[in-house]
Amino acid sequence: MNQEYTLFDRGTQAIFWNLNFDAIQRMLDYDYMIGRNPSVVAIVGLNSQRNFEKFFYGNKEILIPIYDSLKKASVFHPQASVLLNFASFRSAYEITKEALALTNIKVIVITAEGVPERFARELSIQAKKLNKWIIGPASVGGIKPYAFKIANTGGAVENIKLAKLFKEGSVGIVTRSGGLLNELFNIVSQYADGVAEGIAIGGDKFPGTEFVDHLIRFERNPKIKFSIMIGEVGGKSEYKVIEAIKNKLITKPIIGWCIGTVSDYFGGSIQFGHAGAKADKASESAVQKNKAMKQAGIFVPNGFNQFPYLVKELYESLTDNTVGNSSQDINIIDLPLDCETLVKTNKARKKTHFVCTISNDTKEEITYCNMPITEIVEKKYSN
Amino acid sequence: MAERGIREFDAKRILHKNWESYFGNKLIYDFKSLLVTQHTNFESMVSEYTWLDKVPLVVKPDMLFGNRGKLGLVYFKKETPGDIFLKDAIEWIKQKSKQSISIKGTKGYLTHFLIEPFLKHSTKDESFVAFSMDEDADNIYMSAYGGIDIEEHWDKTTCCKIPIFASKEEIISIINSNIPSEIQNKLVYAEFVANAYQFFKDLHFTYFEINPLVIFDNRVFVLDLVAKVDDTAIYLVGKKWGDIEFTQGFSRPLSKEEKYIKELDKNSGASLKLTILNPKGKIWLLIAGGGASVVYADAVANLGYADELANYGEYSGNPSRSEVREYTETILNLMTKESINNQKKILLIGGAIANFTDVSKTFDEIIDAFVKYSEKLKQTGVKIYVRRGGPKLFTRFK
Repeated sequence: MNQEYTLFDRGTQAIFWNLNFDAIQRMLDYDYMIGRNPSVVAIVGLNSQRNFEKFFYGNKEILIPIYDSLKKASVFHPQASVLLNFASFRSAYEITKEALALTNIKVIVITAEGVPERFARELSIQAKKLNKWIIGPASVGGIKPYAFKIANTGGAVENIKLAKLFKEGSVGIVTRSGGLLNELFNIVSQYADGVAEGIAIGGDKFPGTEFVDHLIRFERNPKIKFSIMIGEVGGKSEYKVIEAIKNKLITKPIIGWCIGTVSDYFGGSIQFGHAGAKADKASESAVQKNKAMKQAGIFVPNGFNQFPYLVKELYESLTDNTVGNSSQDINIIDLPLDCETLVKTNKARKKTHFVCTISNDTKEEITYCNMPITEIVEKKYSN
Repeated sequence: MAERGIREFDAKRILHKNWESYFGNKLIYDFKSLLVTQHTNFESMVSEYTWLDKVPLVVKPDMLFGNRGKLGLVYFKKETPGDIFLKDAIEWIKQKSKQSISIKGTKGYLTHFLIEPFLKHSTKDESFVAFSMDEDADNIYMSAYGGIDIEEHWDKTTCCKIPIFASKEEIISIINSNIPSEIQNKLVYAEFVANAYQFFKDLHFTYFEINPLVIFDNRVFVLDLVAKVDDTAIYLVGKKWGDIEFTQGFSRPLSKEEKYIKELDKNSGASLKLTILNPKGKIWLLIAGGGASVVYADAVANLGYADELANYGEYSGNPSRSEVREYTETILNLMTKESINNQKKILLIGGAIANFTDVSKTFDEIIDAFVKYSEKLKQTGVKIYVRRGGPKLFTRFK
């Protein structure tokens, strides 16, 4: 936390609550590829038998210590300023409360879906009092390219490469949905010079931090030239951004869009996939919000498909660059391939083996949950 | 999900179940409510609810919609208030459940009714109290002018904000200093409001409104109650709620398929949603992701095809193989059920770029479902468009 406007930098260290192998490995892969030190320095796992776990960092294996309490992890790793709270909805609240009380932890990402609204609201208010940042609940997280990637944000390595998420660009992005965040990464990599920072605040009714909180941060970040925001039907988040524009707290251009315009065709009564995505008042409908954003000077496309052109237009008008010319080669360290991929591409071979523990062998062929073993092999469900 | 409306009956039942812990025994709430459905056997009810055939009654539908008084759906008199008895109530319910009615443009049938004893009182006895949640505080609304015209008297309603970290003493003092001057028995009313607020808060209600509220001495009569709870809190306060039935309320009847997906969703850590908008529609969606699914539906409507949009739905949060398969088959089955004028149909399979859902896994199941339905799909003439991104995508598209 060198500057108040950025939550992460290349030195940011995180404590990961819950031994989530895939997410942690993805973070370490990213760290390796952008040439920074491992970003996950400790894991909190209550029922772990071991005191450490092995992960790949490039082609080396490293040990990350596992603690049985957050407090302990924080004491042993005082530099860690981020808690990636991957606890279930049952315990996410208590753990976040505990983290808010720890001075070293400044940013908490909550991924659980289904944290009670009353609790989420309390955490949000408490965090703001303490000058800390909560991303979530029900958020996939976010990324600051060339610095720090939260858990699964950005998806698989292939996608991260395609969306040029290794290189710091000049666009700030905030969304509710994690999938759409990824979608925008893709657009911004093709129609502008890439992402400076992208955050998904999550689909809940009372998110820990809102669009406006991050956009004001982006305003102060000299690297960011403009921002993109994708909201949803329901709630007042977009109106707070409009308010901030009126009060000159935000002056950089924003491309904004609120999804859920279809709901107007069906009497506004559809509950969409996210908990907060339902209009309680006329002003909360997507159509109304889009109208209000346009009036406030936000660039509002006619539909999602218009995003690329709007991004390109705005980017080119703000910089002397033409899209396509600006992308210098990104210097990334390639991730060593794992055995599985090598075998698949015929570059290595492996002895076959089949370990089976439970099966049904009363008939001619062994079946697993009624699926014959030949089908399992044919469909490559086994390794 | 999150905020859910619950039946008036359930709200009153929960209030009664927790009455002693919140209101002690100074205030008395005599919970006399009977929820009636088509299956109710009144003969056996009479022995269990001894008041049922002895006192005048009030009957109204209990299906999560408001304005029942103004809609003429509160039955409490033939000629003079309080002349409705069990026989009349049964007759009224029979008659009302037969005819389809329309509320706010939704057509459907009344299926659930609430029967309660009729309380003789005058409009000046009717007060009002409501609690709601804002992002920075809770709101308490109080008024001495309850009843069906509350909105006309809204200027006489006081609203006070209760900060989230307020102590019990602070809450009581805020309530006391905001009680409307017209309230008759201020002391008892204030005590009721303070305790009811605590109850609202502890039991994770998101909305709670009693209108009208009648208090005679220390006896509390909750004549009408509207409540919503945050259903994610069931792991915390489910016991205090008891057996709640989460219902759609008054709506068009859910189709078999929608019910089935709802059931799948309920029992899964992933999210599976399906709303049928127009079963005869040409355009069907099979989309992953809470955000992306909305983008697809928007795009269809934006292009002027809202009338042709058959469904809204989504699956997300790394659903299991069998869940994806069931979901896909449900949609394929729906869209190949009937062919209208030999019109071709369109299926959009899509999603944004997934963060952690294993796309190759979900596509395996979608493909399997297609194999099963290939004949039917050809017969119906379905054009399929696919667009997706995410982990292991390329392994499945090749």
